[in-house]
Amino acid sequence: MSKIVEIKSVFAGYNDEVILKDVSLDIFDDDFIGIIGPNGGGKTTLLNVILGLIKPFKGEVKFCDDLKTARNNKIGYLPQQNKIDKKFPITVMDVVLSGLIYSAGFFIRHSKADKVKVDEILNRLSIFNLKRLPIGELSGGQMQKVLLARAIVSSPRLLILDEPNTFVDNQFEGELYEILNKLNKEMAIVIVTHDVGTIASYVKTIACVNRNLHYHKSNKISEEQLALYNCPIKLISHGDVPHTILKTHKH
Amino acid sequence: MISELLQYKFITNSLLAGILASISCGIIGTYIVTRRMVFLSGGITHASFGGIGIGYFLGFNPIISAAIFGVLSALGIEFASKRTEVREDSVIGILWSFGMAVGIMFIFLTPGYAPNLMSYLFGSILTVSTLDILLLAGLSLILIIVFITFYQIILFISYDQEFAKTHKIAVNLINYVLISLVALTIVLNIKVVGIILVISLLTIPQSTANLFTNDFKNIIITSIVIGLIGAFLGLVISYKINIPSGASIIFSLVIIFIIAKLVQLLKRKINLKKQKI
Repeated sequence: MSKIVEIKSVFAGYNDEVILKDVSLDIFDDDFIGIIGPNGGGKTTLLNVILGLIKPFKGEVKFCDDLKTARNNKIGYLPQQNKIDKKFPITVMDVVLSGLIYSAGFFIRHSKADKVKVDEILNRLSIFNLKRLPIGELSGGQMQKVLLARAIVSSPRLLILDEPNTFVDNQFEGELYEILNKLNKEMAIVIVTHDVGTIASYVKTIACVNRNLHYHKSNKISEEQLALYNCPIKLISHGDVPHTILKTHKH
Repeated sequence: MISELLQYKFITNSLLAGILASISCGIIGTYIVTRRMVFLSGGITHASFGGIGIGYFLGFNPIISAAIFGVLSALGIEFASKRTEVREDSVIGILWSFGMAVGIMFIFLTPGYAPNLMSYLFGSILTVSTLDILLLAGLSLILIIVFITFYQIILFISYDQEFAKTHKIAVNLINYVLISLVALTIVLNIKVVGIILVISLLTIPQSTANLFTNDFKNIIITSIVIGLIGAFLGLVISYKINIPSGASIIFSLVIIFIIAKLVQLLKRKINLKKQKI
C-alpha cells in the first residue's frame, strides 16, 4: 500500500467562487473511494483538481513520481456521459485509442502495439464486436463501457469515474461494479456517485464532499453520521437494518 | 465546348478556384460541423466584412485586411468564450454585427464608388485573381499537411477536449491554431461564393457526406468530392443562364443533398423490406 495522490488543504473553485474549502485527502494505490455529496457541493470540482483541469487557489496536490513523470498518462478518467457528443463521427476503436493519446505524441500515428492494447481491452470488457461501430449506434450501457475502455487502456494507477451509473439500467450497473471490483486489484478507484445504495457495498471508503470533505474510513455509514458530516444526502435503505443505508460488506 | 472554354483564363481560374474551395472547405467544414461551430463560423464570416471595409478605405487588397480582421475576431471569440462570463453565442452575435458595422462605415467613408463590393457579398468566381488562387492553394496545402500530420490529435480533441486535457495535450494552443485556419479558410473563400453564402460550402457537403458515413476521415474525403461536383455543376449553370456563380454552386449543392437524402430513405426502405417487416 503506497500513497499515490496527496491533496493538502486545498481551496478550489471557479472564477472568484470558492467551492472546496480546506480539503485534504490521501489516495493509496489500493483504494476504492466513493465520493458522495449534494449537488453543487464540489464533487466534480474535487475531480477536476485531481485531474489537473483546474488549479487550486490554495493548497497543493502532490502525485507520486510514477504519476508525475509518466509520459503515458497514469490517471484514467471517465467523464459524465452527458458531456460527450453522441453524434460525433468517430468509431469505438478510435475512442478507445484516444486513451493512449499521449503515447502517440504529436506526429506519430498509433503503433501496432497500441492497437493490440485496444483489442485486449475491448475483449476484456466483452465489447470487441462493437469495435467498428460509430458511437452514435451504441446504447447507454455500451457507451459507458467504451468510455471505461478508453479510461483504462493506458493501464492507469488511478481510475476516476464521474457518475458512471447515470443513463444505464440496473443490470448494467451491477455489471459495471463487478468490473470495477476486479479492476481495483490493479488500480486505485475514485468514483463520484449520486446513488449511495448499490455502490456502497463495493467501495472501501466514503468521502462526503459538501464544501468540506469528511473522510469515512469504511463503507458503512448512517444518516446520523452523514448529518454530522454536514452532508445532506437521502439514504435509501437496502439492508434489513434501518438507518444503515448501505448494504452489508462483501468480502 | 470545354476545350474552347478552357482557352479563357477566367474559366481556368474559376475552375481552379472551385477545386481549391472544395478541398479547403471540405477539410475545415468537417471540423466546423462535427464540433458544432457553424454559428461561430457565421460570426467570423460576417465579422471579416469589417476587414474588407478597412481594406477599401486604406486602399489595399480587401482580402488581406479581411484575413487579418477575421483571424483576430476568431481568436477573440475563442478567448472571450473561455475567459469571460459572457456566453459564447452572445460574443459571436456582438462580433458578427460589429464587423458588419465597421465594414459599412469604412465603405461609406471611402471616397467614390466601391468597385466589386457586390462580389464580396455574393461572390464572383469568374473574377478571382491569380493572387486569390495562389493564396487559396497555399492554404489548401497547409490544411492538407496539418490534417494528415495531426489527424489523431485533432480528432481526439474535437471529440472530447476535457479528456485530452487530462492527458496533458496543449488543447488551448491547438484550438487557437485551428480557429485561425477556420477564419483563413472562410476569408479566402469569400471571393468564390461571397460572405452571405460561404457558410454553405462549409456545411452542405459535410451534411450530405454524413448521411452515408460516420467516420471523420471519410466525411472529409466525401465532402471534397461533393464540393467538386457542386462547384462544377454550379459553374456550368452560371455560364449557361448567366447568373452569379456563388448562388448556382450553392443551389447545386442543395440539390445534391436532397438527392442523397432521397437515396438514403430509399435504401432504408429496401433494407426493411429485405427483413420482411
